[in-house]
Amino acid sequence: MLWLYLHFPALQLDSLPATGQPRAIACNRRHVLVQINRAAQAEGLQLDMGLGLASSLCRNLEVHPYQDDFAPRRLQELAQRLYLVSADIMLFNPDGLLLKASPMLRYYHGLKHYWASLQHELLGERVQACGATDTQPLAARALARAGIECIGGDRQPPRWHALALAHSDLPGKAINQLQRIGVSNLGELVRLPLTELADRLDKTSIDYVQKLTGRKVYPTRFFTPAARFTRYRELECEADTTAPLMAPLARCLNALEDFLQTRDHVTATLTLQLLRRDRPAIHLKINAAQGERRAHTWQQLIELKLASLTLDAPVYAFRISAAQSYPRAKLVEDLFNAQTGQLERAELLSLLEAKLGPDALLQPSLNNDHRPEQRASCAGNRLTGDSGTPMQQRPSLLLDTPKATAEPLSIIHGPERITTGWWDQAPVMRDYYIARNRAGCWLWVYRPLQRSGSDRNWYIHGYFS
Amino acid sequence: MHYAELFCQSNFSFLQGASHPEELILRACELGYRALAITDECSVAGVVKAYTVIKEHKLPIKLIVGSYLKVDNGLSLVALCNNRNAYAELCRIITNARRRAEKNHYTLTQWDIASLKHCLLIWLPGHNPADKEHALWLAKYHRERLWLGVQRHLTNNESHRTAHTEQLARQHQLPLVACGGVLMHHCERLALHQVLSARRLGAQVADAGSVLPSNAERSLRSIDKLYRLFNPRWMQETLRIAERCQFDLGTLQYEYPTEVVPVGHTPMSYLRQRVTEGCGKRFGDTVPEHIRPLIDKELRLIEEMGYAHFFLTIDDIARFARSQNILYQGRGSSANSVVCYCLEITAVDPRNIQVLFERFISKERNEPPDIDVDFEHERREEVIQYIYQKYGRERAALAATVISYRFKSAVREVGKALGFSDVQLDFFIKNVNRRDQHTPWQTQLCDLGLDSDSHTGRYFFTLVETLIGFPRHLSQHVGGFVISSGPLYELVPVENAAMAERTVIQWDKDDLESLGLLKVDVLALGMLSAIRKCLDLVHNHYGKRHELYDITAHMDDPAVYRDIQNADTIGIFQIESRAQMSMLPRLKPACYYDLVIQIAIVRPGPIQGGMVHPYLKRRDGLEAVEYPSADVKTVLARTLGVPIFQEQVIQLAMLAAGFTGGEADQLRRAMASWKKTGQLLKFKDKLINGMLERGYQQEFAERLFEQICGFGEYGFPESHSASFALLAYASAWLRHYYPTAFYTALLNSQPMGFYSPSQLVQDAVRRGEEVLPVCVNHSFYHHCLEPNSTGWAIRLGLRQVKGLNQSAAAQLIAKRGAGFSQLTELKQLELGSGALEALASADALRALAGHRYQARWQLMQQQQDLVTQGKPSSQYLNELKKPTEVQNLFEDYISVGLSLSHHPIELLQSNGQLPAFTLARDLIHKHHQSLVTVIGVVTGRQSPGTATGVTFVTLEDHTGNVNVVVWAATAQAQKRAFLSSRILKINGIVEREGRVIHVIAGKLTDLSSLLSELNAPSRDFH
Repeated sequence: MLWLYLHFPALQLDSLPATGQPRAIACNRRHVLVQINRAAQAEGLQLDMGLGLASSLCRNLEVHPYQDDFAPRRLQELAQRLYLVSADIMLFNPDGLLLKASPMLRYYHGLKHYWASLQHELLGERVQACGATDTQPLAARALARAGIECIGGDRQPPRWHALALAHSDLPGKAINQLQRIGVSNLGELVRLPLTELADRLDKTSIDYVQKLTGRKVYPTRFFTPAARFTRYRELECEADTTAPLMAPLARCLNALEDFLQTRDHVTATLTLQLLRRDRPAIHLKINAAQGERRAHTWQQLIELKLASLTLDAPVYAFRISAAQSYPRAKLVEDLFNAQTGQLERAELLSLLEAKLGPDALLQPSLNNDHRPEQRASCAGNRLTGDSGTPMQQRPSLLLDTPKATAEPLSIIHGPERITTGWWDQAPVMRDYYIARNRAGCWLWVYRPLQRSGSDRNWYIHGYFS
Repeated sequence: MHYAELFCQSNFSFLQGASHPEELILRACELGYRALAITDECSVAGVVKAYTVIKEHKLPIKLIVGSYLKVDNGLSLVALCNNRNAYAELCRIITNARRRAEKNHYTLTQWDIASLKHCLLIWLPGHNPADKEHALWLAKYHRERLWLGVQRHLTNNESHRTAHTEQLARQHQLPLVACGGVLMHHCERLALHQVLSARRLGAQVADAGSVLPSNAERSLRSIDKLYRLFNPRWMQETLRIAERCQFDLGTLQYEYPTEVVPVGHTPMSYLRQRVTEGCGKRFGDTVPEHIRPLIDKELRLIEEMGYAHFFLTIDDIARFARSQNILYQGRGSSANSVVCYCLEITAVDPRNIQVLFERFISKERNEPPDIDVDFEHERREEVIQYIYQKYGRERAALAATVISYRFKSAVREVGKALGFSDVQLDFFIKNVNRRDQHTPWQTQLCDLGLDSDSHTGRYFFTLVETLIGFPRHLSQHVGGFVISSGPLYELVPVENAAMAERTVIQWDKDDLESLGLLKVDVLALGMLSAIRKCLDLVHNHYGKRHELYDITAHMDDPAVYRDIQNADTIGIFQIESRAQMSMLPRLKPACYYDLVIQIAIVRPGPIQGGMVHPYLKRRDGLEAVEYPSADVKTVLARTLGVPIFQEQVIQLAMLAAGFTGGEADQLRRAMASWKKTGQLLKFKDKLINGMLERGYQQEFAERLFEQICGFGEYGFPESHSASFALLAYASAWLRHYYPTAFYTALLNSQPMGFYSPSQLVQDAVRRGEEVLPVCVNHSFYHHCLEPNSTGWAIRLGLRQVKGLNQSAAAQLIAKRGAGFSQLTELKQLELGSGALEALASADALRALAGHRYQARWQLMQQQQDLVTQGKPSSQYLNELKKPTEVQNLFEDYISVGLSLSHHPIELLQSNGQLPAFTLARDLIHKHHQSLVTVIGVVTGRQSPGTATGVTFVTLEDHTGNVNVVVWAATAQAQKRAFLSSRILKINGIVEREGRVIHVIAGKLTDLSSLLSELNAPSRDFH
């Protein structure tokens, strides 16, 4: 049996748009580089180098934090893609795929064409990959992880004997023990008598040696493609407008088309989530009048949708998913059976938003701030606001714009002095009072503090009920 | 209109108060307050600073000592000390509250409050249902001394709170008093106060929102304004309370422990007796003529100043150390007195160094006597335990050290509050070079991308600058003990230190000094351990009993000075560093006092003040020795007219610039903390003008000020240098006459000193010592001497084996008898697999199990072998390959930290892996300014604060060390090689001055890949 292992050394880095600038992915727990591009290598950076040293060697290094959940997700996507070319695929999280090559060879008339097809698919996915074949899955994996690309039939002599132990899956402790008796590569390891070795190493290591050499069968659990299409992409840099979203979106829509086509499915609704830093994500629902799978149609719809959207905070990533897909034939039936008049709240909101525009949809919220303007805000369609406890002696009706007044007032309580907010360039310097006017209205009034300028007018800022 | 502020927290209420106690006092004074109470939360740590500023500036304001107390049931109070008894009970409850909680916290119960019988209490109601209950309880216990505090900070719903307080007062018939609840001296500190408040919650200012104060009303406000806010009766009440507070910190009398004076003696009579006894011991029957009057003079001074107890306390500790055979040495101004020599507190013989006695206790300078005693570092704990046991934990505690915000911590704190990410702050901190004197940190941060004109940028700079110097927390002083006759907690609160079973008081050494309280410094010194061990080895193996005082009785051995002059000083106390070694051949010390100067001169103070070259020139007779005046001559004659010691600078300020004793004292303190507080600059005009008025040149005056700044953090007093020089001589003498014992003792005292065991062993081998490897059948735990053909060799001990603990080693030694012959015998000891593995790695099993790989292969076997003795336990054993020399070298460094086989450079050279280069020992044959290539293992990168833009790199090969100077521009251009090389090739230029040789680096090439796994530790950037 011939196995082909694909190792992806820089999945997260590959997902970013190409650049000539030095760029690295760094582990934010250990603060070391875990993926670097060519430009960074040219600057003398190496994997596992500390972030401090790296940034002092290369001032213009662009650093992205390593995301634990990115690689497994991306691996799923790659498996999905390669599933079109190869039947039995195993996932090795977070950065490898094992393909059962032997059964496929007869469809491709040999290893050469099979490998070329795989490479073609990978090229489409824009990922760096190193492939290696061997009769044992773990041997192929060790070769690929060592960066040795060797695609050969099952009769070629094994090439993994010269590999350093570090490329194996042996536990760190065992590698250390073996190195300390002078065993430095896998060849030397398998030459040791297994019985004597079994008395000296832990079970996991012995198990590994047995599987590596084929004395024990490697258990297989093959990949089954996901039922739902979903893609997550981060932008190279945060986008203030929707234009930079279009290119990566188009690639995702192409993938969607492939996904649906292979199943002969269509979908009627796409969900697009625009993720913004420190702000809630924007959820957009894009509906097609009828089931659709063509990328360019979806792209038009999305462009239309995005055209009416103004971003009030930059977007750093998006997630696109097809909620449901169904066979093309069922489309008609679905249309007639669809129930109407039972909209979910979120659906209603998104419909209203689509109809009236996001600015028309407001929701009151209470923020954690002393400043009246900042405390009570009518933010956009924000469903998760901080609902702090209301302060005492604050009016129930607050004016958007305080109103200057010259009418005689009698002060009942006060002052409450608010001189804060230096951090966000909206400082307030006012003395607030509770006052009553001649008509008996209870008002919340303020006078700007002398320090803040010459304005000594009284302003009405709210009414008590 | 008058007012006394009774509730004010300084920045010693950590992360609450936003002003120094001094700032609060000065501002309150400016506003015309009659009194100010410093009431930090469950602490009196800030009061002495406030007291000192009042005393120094003779301010017309009364300081009230108090504390803000939060009880665990929600009750909040301000306790004020009206008399000494009240102060004692406040200290007691603070101590109890702090001792029962973990460090930096406190737990105060209602019963602590109930136990207060003297303190005046201001209750700050919580405006909640519990108020009623609290009112009844407080009125029951403290009615006569209880007030209700009204605070007005112009916050939301304040009118209701005031009304509620008034109602409580009516209901329970309690008097009302106005309280400022002050946290800042000025409203401009609001931003910093908000930053601190946010950080206290672990939040950013923008997120902390309504939790932050809404305005700056918690600052010291004008009396006018306060009268507008508060009822005049409440204002008058503050004055009545202030009037009742008559406690003055200055009246705190330190009472010495009485144990040290036997019954029937006064402290002075007993001190005289002890000195007379010691005098006989030190000088024999004939006390030199000039010594007797000195003793009398010193004793008179001690009597006059009332310091007899202090000397007796130290005498008692020294006696204990002698009885336990613990080596010690006193240092400091008073330590170099004849009295201390007679009491055997120091071994510095007054016959050698008469010149030092000018510096005894100075009445004019009003300094407390200064005696620090260094003990063997491994045995200091015994001395500490003796003090605890003798005086009890109630009467002895360590002084505190106030840990303040420095640049890094301030950047981090402010940055987090303003919402900078951790990664960005790390980047800022790592990339700002604080030693760069030409580019301020603000400019450097701008270069790193912080926009100084942006809104946040501006606040960031100001806030960081203000926060630097703020206290963060209290830590324990390295060894300053305060010992009193009564319970210490009646003098000052005591709290837990980070170390278990240690307690610290809430004041630091400056506070103690301000109040005239004495502390006894019990310090640890590695070299004393090494000397003690060396003396014991000499006694055991050479049959000679030397003591420190007989080695240092004359200090005139030319052979010893020859070593020193040749800079052959690795391992010698104080003069072994790179900088010291390069100065030795120039200064050529030839007597004890030269050593005293040598130790003090290679310091940032004299170097920054540009004093080194003039001194060298004058010493070599190349420059005339001149004095601007006769006064200056009296101060500087012994250092040829060049100020080198810290004391000289202070004396000059008094003599040449007309500073009074008190001012000189302030100057001395400002010097000690000038990097922290920057207070030194305010003396500049006074010093320079004072000198100009007395006819000195502007240039001389400016230079003196420069030097004072240089001395700031790194100044070195002559009195300390004198004691260190004695130990330097002693160690040089031992190294010269008993090198084998000396190196062994040094290795047994690690970690200490400047060099690693590897470097010490290399040096020993170069000097012709034989060093034997660790062996399971020969080594003891410590390194020891073993006979060889020429005398003695050093046998490395099991302590050098990484991963082998002392008890396993002891078990092994106890069981080995005549030696092990089989690995199985060792396995049966059940030392643990870690211990055996460590021994195998250290190649200590060679005698039993062959080479390292074979030993490990046998040890790896999990099943205890049933194989009969004599047969190998594995068929495969002999097929294991042998480790190569390089592999052995790696292993040596990893497991023992040093290698006796070959130096990595030697190995690489013999393998033909290196290009042509000059060995360290051959550099001496190179001409000045000639081109050279050197290659070595990088054993040190040192970037001294004195040499801007230069890093000293030490390269080691098998023949010695090469001293390389790398200029900042060179390092900048070749950063990669400079920062990350373990093996470095340097093409450069030889610079030699006499016997001092440096290589000025030109091109740096990283050769680490040749031995990528080499694990020789490099000591970076000390």
